[in-house]
Amino acid sequence: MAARIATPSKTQSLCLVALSADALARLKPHLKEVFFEAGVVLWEVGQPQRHVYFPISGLISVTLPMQDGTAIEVAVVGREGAAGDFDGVQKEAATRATVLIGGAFAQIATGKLVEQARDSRELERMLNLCRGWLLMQAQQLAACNATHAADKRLCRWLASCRQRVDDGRIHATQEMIAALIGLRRPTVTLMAQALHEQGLIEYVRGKITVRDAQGLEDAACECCANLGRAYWPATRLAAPATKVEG
Amino acid sequence: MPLYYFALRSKGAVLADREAVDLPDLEAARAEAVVIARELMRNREARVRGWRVQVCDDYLVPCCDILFAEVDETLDYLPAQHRESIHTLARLSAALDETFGTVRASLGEVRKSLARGDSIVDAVSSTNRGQKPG
Repeated sequence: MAARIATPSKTQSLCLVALSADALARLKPHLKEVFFEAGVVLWEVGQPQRHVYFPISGLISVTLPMQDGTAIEVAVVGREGAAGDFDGVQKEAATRATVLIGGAFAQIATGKLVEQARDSRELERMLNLCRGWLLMQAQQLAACNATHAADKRLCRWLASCRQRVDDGRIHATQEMIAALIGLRRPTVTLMAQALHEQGLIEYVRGKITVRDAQGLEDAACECCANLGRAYWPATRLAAPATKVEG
Repeated sequence: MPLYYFALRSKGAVLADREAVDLPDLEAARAEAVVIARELMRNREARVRGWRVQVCDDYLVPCCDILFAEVDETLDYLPAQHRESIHTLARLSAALDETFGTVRASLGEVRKSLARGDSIVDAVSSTNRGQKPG
């Protein structure tokens, strides 16, 4: 895997930052900051998920590959959460995880994370929230792909990526976006042109700059708000635990 | 393989995909345009039936046009004559949109010309005011 140890980042995983000093101290000896470029496959269908990744500055796209070669996105994970097997029991992954936007990631061995969570209610809660976040996205995106128009889905995808990157720049080709949301490349290009004319985005050689984040969120389907900051694991981790979460 | 370009004509405006697509022949390009039209209209069919995907060849010469209403699968359950009425309405609405688009573009040009004229008049007036009678 094309990983290298990253120089310490200025940004941090919001999920790890939301932990108490005690809980973070349990993880620290096992955490390693690594750098992945866009396109690196973190785990493949049928393979074990050896690590859990807490994005610091990059984004991870979780897709479900089909026999015909398509791979539709079922979740995106950025600084707000983590991606991996949170139980340490899955021998074979049902999904593929690819680095969508390259950057720094805090990596921890799945076994070590699960072991530490056994002795810490707080870490156990974090894992529950991260697991729930992946499930919540998969459910929302299944309904979104079935019922919402392509232009609204594109706005949802762009706006949700924008919420997780600092500088408003999303490094993604239109081919890549089209594959993730299950559309033809020309369909995405024509819709992106419309968004450009409305002043919402700018697109230059595989780099999309969001010009009007609020406008993009307004133009997106309801799923954008339904997967908004309030539901991020990091946000919920920072808030007191509710009875339902245990 | 020949290259084909796709453009979306909607509400009197044209959005063009500047990147060409390699396809075996015009029939394949037409089939691709049908898929693009269906992707663009899915879950909002009634609002976009007058939109069209235009296919142009390598020289940007239009080869064929796909009217969304004509490939709208949500109309398949209707009797043929009802479908044809909807197609006719969509064609008329598209033609009307094109006309409005042309009028809007002409008005834009007129506004620009008037603004240019105003700035020239202002410049001449300020020059004249600056000149003292000899």
